[in-house]
Amino acid sequence: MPVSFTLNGQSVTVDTDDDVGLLYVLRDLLGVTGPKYGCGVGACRACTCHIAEDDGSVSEIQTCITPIQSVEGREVTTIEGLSDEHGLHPLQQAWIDNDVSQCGFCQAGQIMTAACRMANNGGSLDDDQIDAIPNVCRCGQYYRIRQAIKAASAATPARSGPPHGRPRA
Amino acid sequence: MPVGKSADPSEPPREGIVVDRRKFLTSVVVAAPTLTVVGRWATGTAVGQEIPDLSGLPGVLTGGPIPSPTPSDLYDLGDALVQTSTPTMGLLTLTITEEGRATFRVPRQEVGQGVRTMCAMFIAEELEIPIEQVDVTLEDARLELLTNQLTGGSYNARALYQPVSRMAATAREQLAAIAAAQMGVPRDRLMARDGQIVDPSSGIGIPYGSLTQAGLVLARPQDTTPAKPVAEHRLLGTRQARTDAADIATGAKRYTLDLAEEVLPDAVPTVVLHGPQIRSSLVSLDNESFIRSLPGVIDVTLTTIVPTLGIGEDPQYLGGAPTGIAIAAETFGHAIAAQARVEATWNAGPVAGYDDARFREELRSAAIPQLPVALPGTEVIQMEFDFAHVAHAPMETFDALATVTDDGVEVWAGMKVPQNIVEEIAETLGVLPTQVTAHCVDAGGSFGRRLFGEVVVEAAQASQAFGFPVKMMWTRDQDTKHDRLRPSAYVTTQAMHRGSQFVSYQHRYSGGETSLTHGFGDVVTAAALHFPPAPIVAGQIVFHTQMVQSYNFGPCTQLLHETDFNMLTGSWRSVYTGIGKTADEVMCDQMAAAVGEDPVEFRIRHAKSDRLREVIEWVRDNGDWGRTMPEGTAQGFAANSEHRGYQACLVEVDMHAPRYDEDGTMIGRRPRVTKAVMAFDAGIPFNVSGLEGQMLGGLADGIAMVLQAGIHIDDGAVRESTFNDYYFTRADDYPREVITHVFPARGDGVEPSGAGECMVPTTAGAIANAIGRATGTPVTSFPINF
Repeated sequence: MPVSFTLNGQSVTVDTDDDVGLLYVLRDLLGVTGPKYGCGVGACRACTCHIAEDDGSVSEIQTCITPIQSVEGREVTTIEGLSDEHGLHPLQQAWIDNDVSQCGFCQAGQIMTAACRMANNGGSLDDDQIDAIPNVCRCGQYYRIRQAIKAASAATPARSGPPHGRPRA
Repeated sequence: MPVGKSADPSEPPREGIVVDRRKFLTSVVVAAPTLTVVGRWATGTAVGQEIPDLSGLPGVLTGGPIPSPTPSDLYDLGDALVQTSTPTMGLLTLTITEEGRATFRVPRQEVGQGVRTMCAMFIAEELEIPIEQVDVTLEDARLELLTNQLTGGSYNARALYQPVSRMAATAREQLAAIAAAQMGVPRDRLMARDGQIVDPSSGIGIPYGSLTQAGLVLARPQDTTPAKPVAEHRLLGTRQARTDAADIATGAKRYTLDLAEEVLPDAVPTVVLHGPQIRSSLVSLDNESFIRSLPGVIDVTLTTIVPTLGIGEDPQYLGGAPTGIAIAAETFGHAIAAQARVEATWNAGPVAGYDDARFREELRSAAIPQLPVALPGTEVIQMEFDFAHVAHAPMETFDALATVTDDGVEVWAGMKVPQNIVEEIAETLGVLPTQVTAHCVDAGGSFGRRLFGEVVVEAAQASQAFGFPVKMMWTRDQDTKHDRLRPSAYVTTQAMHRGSQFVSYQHRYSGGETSLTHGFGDVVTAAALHFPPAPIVAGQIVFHTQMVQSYNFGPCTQLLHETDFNMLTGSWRSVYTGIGKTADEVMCDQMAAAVGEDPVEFRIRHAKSDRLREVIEWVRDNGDWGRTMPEGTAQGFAANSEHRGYQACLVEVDMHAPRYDEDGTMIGRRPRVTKAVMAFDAGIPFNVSGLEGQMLGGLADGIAMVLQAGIHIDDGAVRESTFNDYYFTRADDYPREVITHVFPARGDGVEPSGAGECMVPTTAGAIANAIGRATGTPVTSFPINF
């Protein structure tokens, strides 16, 4: 059954089986490889992307356990769509400035999770909220992830309008 | 179940560890499944024991520390790896392009450790160009490189610094010579600056790109232009972000499967299912037509993991019996769904019937006993430790791209021993090694896993059988259940002291055999290591060249005995020292306690070298060692001197930190490392940011190893499946407060150290010691929550 949705601001339609995970559609059919397979069961969150909600907020989704049919008509943003015409998302810049990554495989998911939670929290996260990020970094760069999120939190003014990171229509 | 045996010292020793129950201090480890014991006894003589006269030993008369020389003081694993990589360094080349870029293909695997960035720094330093103008890529498998294409053993900095730096220095001199000829001035009037050869008197400069024609400036690592003195480094010794940092942050970095779009667009997603037990071989696939009928399924075939001939190898596992069922489908989602519905009959694996208790028992019975000897007037301290199996669990599961055509075989994967994999593919597919092209691709972690390449061989087999290219991936479940585990181990330590003076130290390591059949990454040593008794010898060599003794505790023996359980095993970050030195550092705290000394001052007093002493003192002073801690919290300390570097770590733990569920509701309490202070003397630090990253990552592994990462085996099968049950360190397990310190370069006379592995035992030891101090009970069973 064909499914149509908005991916990083562009309309796409795919025809595959309804219950195939969005991750596999993104990677194997659409060639969008920023989201990674790390576990397939929503545990490691290397596949995390954003989906826009009707109220203007943004939700993080583990695309490996999100059936493709459930994104019909929705707006999906992957790491490739996180930056905008103004340049890199503050988190992406902070990730580079803090040399966060080692192997880097989990980092798209880390950034997307943090971006979503910051967006829904007035643009910043505190230490307890950073603790609550369950994404696995097997290289163990949690300290730098924390420093980068704090740097981006400081750099991002609280917004009253639609939170930063909301997928563009 | 008490595991230590006890006896009256006036009776003849019975077997194994003999201690005096009356003077025995026993204690229970936090959440440990068995009672573990810390033994200590004071005695005069063991019956029938000759009493050697120790008074002539150095230090005995003065009462100071007695030396503990060990083989690794003279020659360590890194020395061997540097030596074996040297002969073919001359086959590498550095090229300056007409755009003025420097390009170099490094015969190593990037797994996140930063070897590409480090080499780019070496080259940029000597060529006087920005690092952005250096392209370091990974070399394909080149059989002629022989033992110079292995990634492992923390030796990249040691092996590559001088050759790559000299190569770049030579290229700079070649460019300067060409510029001197063109400008008609002597070379010594010119200097290299910002990618140009400049005449400072006139200000005229010629860009490198104009000085080279393609291939003209081409230097090799055996060239003799010396590298800069350390004092003149402008880039080395600074913090340099990874050269791929921006690509990672934007999702643009391509790992193996991501690369398919570019290099093998027709590759079909393929998963491979292995048996329920470790190394089960397949009897029959019982519902093949049903699997083929499932949505999206394109093809099904059987694969065989290349058998590894080891001691006691069961013939059932030789001869190419199928070990995997490969399913190709429209997407990995379809393939994974189909895999879940496979019905198949499997043979029992070689460790059928084994569970953790049986491994533990067999390792104990295989242990080389500690001799129950106490010299007159001495006291003996003894400990024993259990370490669980652990899995590597890199974020990127085992994967590869492969295409097999009449023209040959081409594969892409993260490969730490690509030559071995070429040979295995050739052998398995019946082609010549020269028909196999193997491209190394940056990998999403390894921690030792990619020292073997089963999945690459499986991918080639599947492509050959299917007749189309594949992108093959093991699911996380398969990656966990069929990892080459770090074998479990049982360690005993024994130290003897007279008053506050230690007169001997003994370490006995009984472990499952760690497979080292990759040799030095070349087909010759790998082949040699497949024949008994080579695996035993290899284990002994690696053990003795790895196991440092950082302190002077008197004559020291460190002995390894490995039991081959016929499993697939492999090195896990730090290999033998991850276990051995962690145990030694816990022991060290008990030794300090036995003589009534502060554990840090005790380490300082016994440190084998001034450099180790300085590192310990830095951490002591900057970590506020000895501050008053609330009940249920404590500081812990450990130090180490691995890979020709010096490391120390102080942590603080809170044994009652809150645990929250996803909604932020407190659901219990657990131990948490709340602060860490680490220092590292790496001899000559190259990328300070990279070194700090290795320290931070080592701490994450230390936390995992001590607190919660262990693999259970039930009836020959791995119980854990994914990150939910094989629980690796996460954000709320990691300290919020971390201080890392990299010592400045020690100068030209000092060798750069290895860096990738050495913080694992250092941090694990510190965490175990902090828990021991917080609870009053030393940690002797790893992980404590198992």
